[in-house]
Amino acid sequence: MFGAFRASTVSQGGLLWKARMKMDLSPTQKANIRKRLKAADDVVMKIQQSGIECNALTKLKAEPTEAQMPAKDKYTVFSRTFKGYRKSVHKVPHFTKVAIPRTAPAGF
Amino acid sequence: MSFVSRILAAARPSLTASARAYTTAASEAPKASTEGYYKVTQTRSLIGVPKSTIKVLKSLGLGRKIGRPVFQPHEPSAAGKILKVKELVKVENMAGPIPPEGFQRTRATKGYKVVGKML
Repeated sequence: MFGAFRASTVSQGGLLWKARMKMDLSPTQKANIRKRLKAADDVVMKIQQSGIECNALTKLKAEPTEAQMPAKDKYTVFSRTFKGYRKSVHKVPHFTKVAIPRTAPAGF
Repeated sequence: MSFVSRILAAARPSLTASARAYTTAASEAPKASTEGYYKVTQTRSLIGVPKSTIKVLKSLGLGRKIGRPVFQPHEPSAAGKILKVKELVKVENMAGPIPPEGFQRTRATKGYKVVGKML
C-alpha cells in the first residue's frame, strides 16, 4: 500500500497520494524559459530596427533583456501571498504565452 | 509604483540607461525610408491566451494556422499590435512594398473555376 501506515477509510479516500508541490524548475524548463525570453527580445529588436516609434516600444525599451536579467527574475515572479514574496514562474497560469513582468517591485 | 519604491528606484543606479542595448549597426535591416513591411509568423497557439490578446492576433491576420506568414506595413499601429503579441509570434523586417500574396485571402482552393456568367 502507500507507506507503512495501515489502510483506513481516510487513506483509501484518494487524497493522501498526491505528488508534492514542486517549486524548483528542471534545467530543461529553465533553458526553455530563457529561450522564450530571447524570442520575445528578438521581436522587440526587429521592431526597433524597423525605425518605427510607438508607445509600446518606448515602454519595452526600458525593460531589461534576457542577458541583463538576474536568474531570480527569470525563474521567479513577485507574489504578495507567498513566503518570501516570490513564487516560481511556472505557477503563473499560461506562463509560456503570457508576458511575465521582468522586474519585481523595489526591494523584493 | 508606490511612493517608497519610486524613491528607491531613483536612489539606486538606474537600469534604464543600459537596458535594451541592442547592436543595431551590424544587423540593421535595409533601412527602407519609403516602404517596408513586417513578415509576422505565429509560433504558438492562442489556446489559453487572454481574450484581448486574441483579438489583436486576429486583427493582424493571425490565429488561423501556425507558421502561415502575414504581412503588415511599417506603421506604429502594426508595430504596437505585434508588440502586444510578442510572446506568440516571430517577426522579420522586409524591404519594398507588400507582395501581392499579402493582400490575398488564404483560403482552400475551390475545386472549380468560373468560366463565364449568364447574367
